[in-house]
Amino acid sequence: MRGTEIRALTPTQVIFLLTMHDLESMRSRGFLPSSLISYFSNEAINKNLSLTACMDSISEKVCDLCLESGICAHNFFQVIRDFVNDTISRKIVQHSISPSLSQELRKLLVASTHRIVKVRELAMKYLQRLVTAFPSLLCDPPFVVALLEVLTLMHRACEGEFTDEVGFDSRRTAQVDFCHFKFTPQHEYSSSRTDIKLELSDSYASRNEILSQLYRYTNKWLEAATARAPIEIQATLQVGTKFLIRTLN
Amino acid sequence: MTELVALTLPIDALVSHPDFHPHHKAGSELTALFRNMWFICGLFRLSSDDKADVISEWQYAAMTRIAAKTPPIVLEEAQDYLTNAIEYNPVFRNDFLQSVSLVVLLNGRYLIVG
Repeated sequence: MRGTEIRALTPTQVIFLLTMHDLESMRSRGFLPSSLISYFSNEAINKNLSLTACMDSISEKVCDLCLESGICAHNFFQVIRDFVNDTISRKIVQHSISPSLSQELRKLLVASTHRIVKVRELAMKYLQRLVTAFPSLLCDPPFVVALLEVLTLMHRACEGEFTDEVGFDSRRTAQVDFCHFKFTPQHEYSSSRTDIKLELSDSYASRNEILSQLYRYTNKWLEAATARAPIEIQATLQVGTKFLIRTLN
Repeated sequence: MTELVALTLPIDALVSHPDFHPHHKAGSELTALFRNMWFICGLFRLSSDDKADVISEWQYAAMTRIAAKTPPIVLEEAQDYLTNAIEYNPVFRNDFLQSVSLVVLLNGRYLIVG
């Protein structure tokens, strides 16, 4: 961090940064990472480059804290042991994460499609770090269903380039008849199966970029998780697929 | 400052109610109240995890519970956030800002660089 950036800060901005550090450190220790993203959603703050440079440093530190807390506390997993019978005992270990962490992961996933570049970059970076450090997060069916749903919605959003109306408006003036096409992209995409709602930019180039990045990361995560725990991942994907099929019918 | 520390307890008791979820879809007024509360804590280092700051374990635990129920303090739709919510926030009164500003600035810059 360059000294020029820190020197440019006013006392009230320093208090804002201290507040951000304290508040988000507490939240990250409690496995509530999604609120960090909101600091970069305001246009006025994003325009102040010195402030955002310091906020980036704080975000890195907060992310490290969340990962350290996860490693130390092993709070992600509840292990359920089930003994089959008296003569042959078999431990069946099922992995599930706490509902609040599952919800936080889904919020980060939705934020990774945000209109503001800074927000989606940070959300994806945070998600990538969490899933890379703890591949078993992909054993959580709600998170996997959310991942598949967001990919589906993004795919639909990208297809809108070819299907979104393109309204036709014709007018007649004294001199000439003219008609023009109206560009009316759809901005909101929601899933009837889950409570996911995406609000997207109207730039199809941006949508395609988000989709390809998310697709690339999902492939990478599933490959890594399958290599470590193939049976669990297969079971999770089956649960997720059954849920999606059930809600379709 | 002891009065401020004492306020931690009733706020903690309030947010601990199982049917009170201010962190879900809070209005702009409630968000502003939480934001200003945290600005005061940041200013007087009441939420610090640094061992050099005088803060007891129970107080830090209470602040952590309040943090879990705090809505996002930066709103996307807020206009002129830097000016209205930070630079000209009435919570930052000139008298105590001047007295603590040097300590806060040093603390803040050490924190950011470290």
